[in-house]
Amino acid sequence: MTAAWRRLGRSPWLFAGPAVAAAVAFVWLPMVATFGLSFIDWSMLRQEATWRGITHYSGTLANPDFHLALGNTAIYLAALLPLQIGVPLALAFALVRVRAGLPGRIYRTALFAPSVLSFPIAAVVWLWMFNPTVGVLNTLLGHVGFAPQRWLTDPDLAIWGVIAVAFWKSFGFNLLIFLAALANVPADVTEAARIDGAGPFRQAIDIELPLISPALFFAIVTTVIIVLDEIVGAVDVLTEGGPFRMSSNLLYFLYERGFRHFQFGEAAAVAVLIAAMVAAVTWAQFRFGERHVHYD
Amino acid sequence: MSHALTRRNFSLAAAALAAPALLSRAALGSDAKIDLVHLFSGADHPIQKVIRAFNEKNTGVIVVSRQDGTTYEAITQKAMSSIAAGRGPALMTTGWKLGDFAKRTLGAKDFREIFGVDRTAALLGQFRPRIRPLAEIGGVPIGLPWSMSTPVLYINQTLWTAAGLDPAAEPKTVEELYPMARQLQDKTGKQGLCYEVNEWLPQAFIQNAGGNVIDANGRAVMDSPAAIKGIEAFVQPRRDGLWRVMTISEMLAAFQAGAIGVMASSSARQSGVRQAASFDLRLAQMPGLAGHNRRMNSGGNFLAVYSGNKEQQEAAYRFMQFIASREGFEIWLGTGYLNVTTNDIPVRPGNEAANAQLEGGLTSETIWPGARGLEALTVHIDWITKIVNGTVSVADGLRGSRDAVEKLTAA
Amino acid sequence: MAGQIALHVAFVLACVATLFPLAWMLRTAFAAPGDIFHATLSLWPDDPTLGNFAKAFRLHPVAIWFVNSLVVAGAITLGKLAIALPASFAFGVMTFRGRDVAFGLVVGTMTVPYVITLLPTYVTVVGAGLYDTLAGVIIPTIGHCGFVVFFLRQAFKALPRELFEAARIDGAGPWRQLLTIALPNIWGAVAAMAVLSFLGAWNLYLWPHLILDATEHKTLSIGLKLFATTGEQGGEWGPLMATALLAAVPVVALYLLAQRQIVSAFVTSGVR
Repeated sequence: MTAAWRRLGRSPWLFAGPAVAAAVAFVWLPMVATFGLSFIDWSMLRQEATWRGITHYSGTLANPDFHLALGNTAIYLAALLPLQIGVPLALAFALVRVRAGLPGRIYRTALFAPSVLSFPIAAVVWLWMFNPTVGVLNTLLGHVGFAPQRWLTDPDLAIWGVIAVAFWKSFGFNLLIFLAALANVPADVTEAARIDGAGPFRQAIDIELPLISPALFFAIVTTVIIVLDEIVGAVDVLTEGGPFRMSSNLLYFLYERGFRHFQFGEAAAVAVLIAAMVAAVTWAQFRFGERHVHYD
Repeated sequence: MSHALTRRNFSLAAAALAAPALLSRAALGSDAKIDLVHLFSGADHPIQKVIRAFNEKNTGVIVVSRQDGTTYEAITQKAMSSIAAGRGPALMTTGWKLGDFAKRTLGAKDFREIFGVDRTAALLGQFRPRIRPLAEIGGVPIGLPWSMSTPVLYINQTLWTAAGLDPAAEPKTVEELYPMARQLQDKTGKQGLCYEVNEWLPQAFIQNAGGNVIDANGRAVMDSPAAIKGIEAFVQPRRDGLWRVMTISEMLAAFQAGAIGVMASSSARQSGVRQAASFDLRLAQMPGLAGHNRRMNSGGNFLAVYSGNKEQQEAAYRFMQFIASREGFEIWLGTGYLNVTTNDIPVRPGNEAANAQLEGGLTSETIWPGARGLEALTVHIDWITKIVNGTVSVADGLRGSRDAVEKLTAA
Repeated sequence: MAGQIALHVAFVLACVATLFPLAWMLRTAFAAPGDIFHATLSLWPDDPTLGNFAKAFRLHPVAIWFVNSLVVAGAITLGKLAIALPASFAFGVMTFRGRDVAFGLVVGTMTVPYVITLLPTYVTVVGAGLYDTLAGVIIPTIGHCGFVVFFLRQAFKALPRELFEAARIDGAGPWRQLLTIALPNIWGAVAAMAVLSFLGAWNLYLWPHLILDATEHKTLSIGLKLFATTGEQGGEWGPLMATALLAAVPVVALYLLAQRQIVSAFVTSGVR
């Protein structure tokens, strides 16, 4: 008896079991359930299901609000990818060339500081600066002779307000990744390039950039996650997707369908569509990565 | 009489059940706690005062204030999840406009079923006969019609007089108002006018032009020629550069900061606005449209009961009795809501304009019909926002709204 | 040399621009009400006051939100570590049938976008009576520990095999090997994962927003949203910024204290 208990106590499954169970219960099963949910109407209040076939998919794909959310997600990506990669990359290349140690550390800490905040906190801070009458941004504009802007209620501006906040809040994260990757570039490689007469820009582009390609690749992945997922915290606080959904994205659209109007089946179809897109993007990235990312 | 009996029975039962606990905690043991979900911000808001005054009476019922948002849409959406989770609010300030939705989708209780016919009549009898039907959906009383407001003009009198305008001027129509706002803007450099962007204030314009948003048969008619005319008048100041469009909270902050001359909003915002305004504030009746009869709308909320628990329902009754009493309602009028009870309470200073508007006759708020009425309402607000921002023409926007709303109300 | 000066000028400007919103939050948090509502660019409040903090606590249960955030972030961090540590030890050090499948099931969760788990998890949590409870926020989130397992397994695998051989000869069972031999050697990795999980959980938004309802059950992140949208009665920007400051302090402090671990965690996650 005690021997059996002891064997059980040493079983690897006792170690791995809880994690496996949690993964199955909170990720894999819900994933399957979402597929199921996307074919029915589910009433939370009455706990009833009605079979709807593929109507949630056809309905969603024909819904102009879905198109808007999809288009906005594309705008978020098109704006944030170059910003989130380009700016931190330039900063990182410049920062490793700052020779003084202490100022370099101060710059790094300062530039990274907003990245530890959450999206809602960052959004609340900017919400105040965006205020159309007493916000500091319009005060600033007034000082340099520009007309005040309706940052978050102007349908053409709102999405850029959210983009600005998302960029401010997360570029430091990529900066850190790039800096660490650059720190691992062997000094003799850059030294050799310098002796060969390569200027700082040539060094950065020709020598260092290829060597940090895994970090670059990772930064792209995290930016995609930010746009598809985390940015929701900023959208909800700043604009609630408005005005008239002009700053909404796919996840916010799902949130509205599922948790504001409780159309769970429809929201599940949206979730499946988002997941399919994420899977496609991830696959494309890895295919690209296999060919262009050098891990050694 | 029957009420007293119930109360005694209830107390006896509670005492018996709670006997062991009573030995240590005499008075607290039998208190019934009910959640009141509402949308009023601020620790000094009259709703907190009403609740405090009631709780201090030690009736054996403790009301717990729960602010779940700042719009009826937001708190109703929240309530849906909590009701689905079996933790619905005992009481909620339910928007007039969501009455049908509250009954059909949220399951607001029929007062006659939970309180009995006589006690329902006794409770609702405290309200003016004209008001009572407002909280009846399909003839079923599902709420205490305690909060009625109407759109009014909030005038920054300091700016108004600085612009050389007649301090006592009361524009009867928007055609009179707009030149005044123009003069104010030109003379002071501040924004002349601001309207709240939602479905409610535009309804006033549609009605005053002779149209309707939803007709008596529950059909969407917000794109009628009259309605279009009303909304054209609504967006005119935006086209004239008098009104910079912003959200309601931005508008309130700007007005309170003295950056806006005149704003049109609910009379119920008075307590908050007045408290934070550092200038001379004057309220005036909402102007109508030239050449049309005035047909102002009302808005607000009724208190509906969502709890299926007998004890909680009884506790809710007790609280509603207090609200409807002279003592309770006098506190409540501090909000800027109108006196809709039969209690004879003198009109509070500042409430005169809204009250005069009430005496002049108010229509009820548009009720968004159907199980998906809440969604229809949000879609309509989206279209109004598009119109206000000039993204679509008034006619196209209102037609777009009708198409979308028809689809949802048919569902 | 001129190049270095230009670099410093550029970085000082970049830092000023980056820090300005935070400075403006600080300024507003300590500014008197009258000072908030006039157009100014001065970073120093006219008459610094702590009144906004007092008012924030009066308007909303900010202290309770703070505690809730601590509980949620702490429990998620501990929970993730509690199930990930033994699992990654098993995957990295032990050999058993089905190991690779089990590892795939756990680490594969990293590739699943969590939106696709949202609705059924919500229905389950509501059905289990955990709606509007911190447990309802915590428990499903712990399940998303694929990355922690992946990361810690790497750390365990990097340990020399001889370490465990010696222990086994001394008669140490697997639990003792994990706790007394392996764990002390990977503290850095554990600390990195703890910090990363804590930051992630502290900043959770959508999930707690869906699950928590009552005002006094909210976490700071979603409480801030309620606070921001209840600005209607006068735009309580001073108290709101004071609350945002309180929400920012723990993560900023954690960052400053554990900068090395955070950087190493982020970087290792980046170069995986």
